Amino acid sequence: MEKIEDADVIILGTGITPTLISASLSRLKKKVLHMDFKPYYGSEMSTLSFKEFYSLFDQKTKKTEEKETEKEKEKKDEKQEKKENENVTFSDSIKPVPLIFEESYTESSLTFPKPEVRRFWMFPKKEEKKEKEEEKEKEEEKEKEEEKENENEKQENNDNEKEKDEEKKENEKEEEKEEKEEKQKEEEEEKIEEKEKDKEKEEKKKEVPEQIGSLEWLKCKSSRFMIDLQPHYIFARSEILKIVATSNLTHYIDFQLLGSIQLLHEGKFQALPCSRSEIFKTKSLELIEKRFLMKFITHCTKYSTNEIEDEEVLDEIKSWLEKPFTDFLTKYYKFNTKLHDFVFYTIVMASGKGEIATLKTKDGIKSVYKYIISMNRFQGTTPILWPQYGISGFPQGFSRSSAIYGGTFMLNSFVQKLVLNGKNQIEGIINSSNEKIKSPIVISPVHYWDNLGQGVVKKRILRSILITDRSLFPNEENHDTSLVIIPSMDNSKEEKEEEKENEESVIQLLQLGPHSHATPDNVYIIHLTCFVNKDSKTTPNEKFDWVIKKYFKREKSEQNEEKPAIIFDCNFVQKIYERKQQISEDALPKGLLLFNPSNPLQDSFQSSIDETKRIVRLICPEMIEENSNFFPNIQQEVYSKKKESKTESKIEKKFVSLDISINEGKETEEKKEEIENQKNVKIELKFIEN
Amino acid sequence: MNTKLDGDLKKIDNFLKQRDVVLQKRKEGDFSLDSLESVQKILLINPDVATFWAFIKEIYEHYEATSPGIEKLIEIYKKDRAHVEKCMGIHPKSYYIWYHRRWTSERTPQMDWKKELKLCNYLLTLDKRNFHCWNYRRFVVSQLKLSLKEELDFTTFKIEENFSNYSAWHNRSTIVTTFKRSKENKNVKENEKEKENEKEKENENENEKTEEQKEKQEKEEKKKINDEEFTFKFQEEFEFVQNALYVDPEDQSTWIYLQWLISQSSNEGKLERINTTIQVVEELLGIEPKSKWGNLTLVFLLREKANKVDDEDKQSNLRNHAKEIINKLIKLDPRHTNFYNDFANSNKSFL
Repeated sequence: MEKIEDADVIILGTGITPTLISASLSRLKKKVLHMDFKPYYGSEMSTLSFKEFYSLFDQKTKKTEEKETEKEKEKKDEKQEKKENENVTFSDSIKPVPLIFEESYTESSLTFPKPEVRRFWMFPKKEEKKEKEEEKEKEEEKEKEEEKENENEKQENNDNEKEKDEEKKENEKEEEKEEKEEKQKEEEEEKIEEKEKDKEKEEKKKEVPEQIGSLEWLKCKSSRFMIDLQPHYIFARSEILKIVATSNLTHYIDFQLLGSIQLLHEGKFQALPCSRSEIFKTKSLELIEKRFLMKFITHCTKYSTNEIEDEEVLDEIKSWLEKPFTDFLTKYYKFNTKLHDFVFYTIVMASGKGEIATLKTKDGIKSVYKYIISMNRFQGTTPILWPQYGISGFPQGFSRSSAIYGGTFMLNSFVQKLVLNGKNQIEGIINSSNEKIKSPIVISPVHYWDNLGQGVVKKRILRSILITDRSLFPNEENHDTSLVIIPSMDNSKEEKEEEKENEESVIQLLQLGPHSHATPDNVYIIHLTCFVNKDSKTTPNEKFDWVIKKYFKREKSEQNEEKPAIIFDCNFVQKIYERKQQISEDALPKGLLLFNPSNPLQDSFQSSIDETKRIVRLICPEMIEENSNFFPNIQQEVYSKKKESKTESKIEKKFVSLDISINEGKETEEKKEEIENQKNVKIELKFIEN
Repeated sequence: MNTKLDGDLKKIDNFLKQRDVVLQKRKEGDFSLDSLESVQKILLINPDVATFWAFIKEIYEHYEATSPGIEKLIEIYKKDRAHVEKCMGIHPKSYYIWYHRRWTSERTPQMDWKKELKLCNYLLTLDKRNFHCWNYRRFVVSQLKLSLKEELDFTTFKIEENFSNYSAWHNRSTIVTTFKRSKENKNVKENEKEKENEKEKENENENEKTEEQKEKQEKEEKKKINDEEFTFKFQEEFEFVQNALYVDPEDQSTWIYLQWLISQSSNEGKLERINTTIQVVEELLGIEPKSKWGNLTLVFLLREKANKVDDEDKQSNLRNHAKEIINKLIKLDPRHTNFYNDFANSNKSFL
């Protein structure tokens, strides 16, 4: 690779914000050098294979050692800094491990089920047969039982014949699974052969274990897992998707609609129907509820598009704008608690009771409008798109986009020192291989500079990732990928004080199944997320324990077949950093621009886009105008149209059932209207090009 | 503007030239396959010209007269279907295209009606309200001998997708009428049927039928059995409609279907049905007092009720109530004052 000696801009970190900045600046013809100290893209929102993910925890001890040496280095740097006068080197505060994981996590938070638990949830083929034979023998002889396990099984058989049938089915299923696994093994082996990497080949052949669910098995299937460190929810109508569509990123990211959004309401998982068709179909709502819900949704959308003709209604809504949204729902639309909670938790996606109490009607209406237009875009039952193969498709896509326009990317490398001139202005950096690279501007996430006090921890994110053997909703295939909102503690006796202290207690449970391409067949990833105040001392374990106990099983003794069994789970804590609003100019060297890393709320990366615009405007003052295009397509002709249609058709294939040639360009107006909602990026693209 | 005009003029010129060629061929009686090609070509520019489609039919008639054999016929009609589908894409609401489709489908040997049904269903996902397609679909369904139940389920599915769909409601109404008619005829025919069946059995023994005919007969019998078991449940239908009314009282197609459904109710329970419906509508008007179609339907219901009531006092009560509503409607919706006045005039016996 060519050695890089200078750049217009050096960007650090490959989360969504820095890669957006990178893509924008490259397109605006700046020479960008982009660095990340990690071997993969995405920073705090990486999507990792199982091995990569596991190593984050496994290498913990190593990292702390590294940190210590780092600190020593820093001290040395500081000394050097004081010595040098004209060519001042600024102290290197960039930590090779910017703390996306809190130091406080312990080994114990990373747990595996004991071997017998594994055996419980997946029987190897041979044992299965033996057990069947033994069962038969017993039925004939009805004599002493030899093993405890068999005793249990027999009792069950006697108790309930139905269960027996179910077991048989289970066994059959598991046999099928086994077969599938075998096929996968073969396929994988073939792939490796193609690669002709002998080492890997030998390793993998050795590794494929008989018992599914063991650590070895997980490692063997490593690359079939897409584990997101930070799940983000992208609305189908959002600026980020517009950027994706207009800047040709559809080559890199495929989307699917989230199967369902559900609320844990009165002990049951329930989805709120929101489209006209869904409301019409559902039997879970009373007629009166249907009327008020429809009225509410139509009013919110029509108000947002200035289409309300009835002036009485318009005046009424206007009188509510500054008042609490919760009163608007219960008083004007006469919502009962069920509808009220559904609207707040699943549509507005309130973070807790605090937000419910304070949200103003005007903001509530905005949220509802965003939800409804996003949902109508693809005529699905949810408004949220999930990127197949993980959320890091976004930063990776923008990185490639930046690279196409000339950006240079260096992974595994970081900044050792900033080089400053006498006026405290950045001249360049010294990278991890001790090379000097000239650049007047360095753009960095704010938390890299923790010791300068520029960033503030805004919130903590409690996270738990489970890998399970079946879906939470085994009977509903389209709930393979599902978001479940769990408003608060089920039995609130323990946490009453806790709740007061930290009102934002909503737990988001995201299930990703094989349809999302995030897991191997028959295996599911469960993301548990909860935002707490920065001072809260709640641990993920405390927060999620009751959810895990209630809806999953960890121990063999739990005989409940319905519950998914946990194969692997781990807890960790992430922090959300925010830039201090007021920065004294002397505190930072000139040319060092800090940005907020992504804000993992359901804002569809809007805060990242805003950060991008702010940073880009600092560098390119000509972009100050409101409707400037931050992502111009200069090399648009590079892409062949064939490629475009291919990627789009992937998204669209859901809607196409027969191969009939129909000339789209000459449809009648009415028809266009009809189809418009079904069309997606394609229409959008045409529209923008026109 | 000029460049666009120039382009258009060129297109027109091109079309006219081709038209003259085609018409000349027809005049000369050139019904060759070459002519077919040129007609099909010009139809792709503008498929909404009856003369061209007529010419195509003539060509096929001549072609069939040469008795080219089944395989060749199948082939030529297969090509025709592909061509028609292209034309549908250009002008999905041209009458001639759909007439033509039916004409060729009927003539095609070993026609694959199931595929045709799939095509219709697909086109109805693109435009749920294309009544040409709904019409043609009914024809296809009659060929396939689908049971009433299957058809009802299909319309339910379509209405659930979007109930602002006159065509779907209309399709539903045809099912209701078929059901009613068959029920009425049932008693009369039952005696005849037994005789017929005996005759048929005799016939079966006498004549060996081709497989195709057998299949057809089997289908018909299956349909018969299914349809006899099928009962259209008016109560459920009213609930279905009521559901739609509550979801969107502004949608007139549902109100019109409700009015039609009332008119179809059997005489025995009609008054009771009207009374419960009045209750439902009044409940809804309690939440949505400004619903135009709700109020108008209430007037309709009151009129129907008055027809069923003998007591003059009650009749005049109903009349006064209806008049009040009409006045209210005129205030609510002054742009349609004349419409309401006309409605009142055309119901002079009542209002």
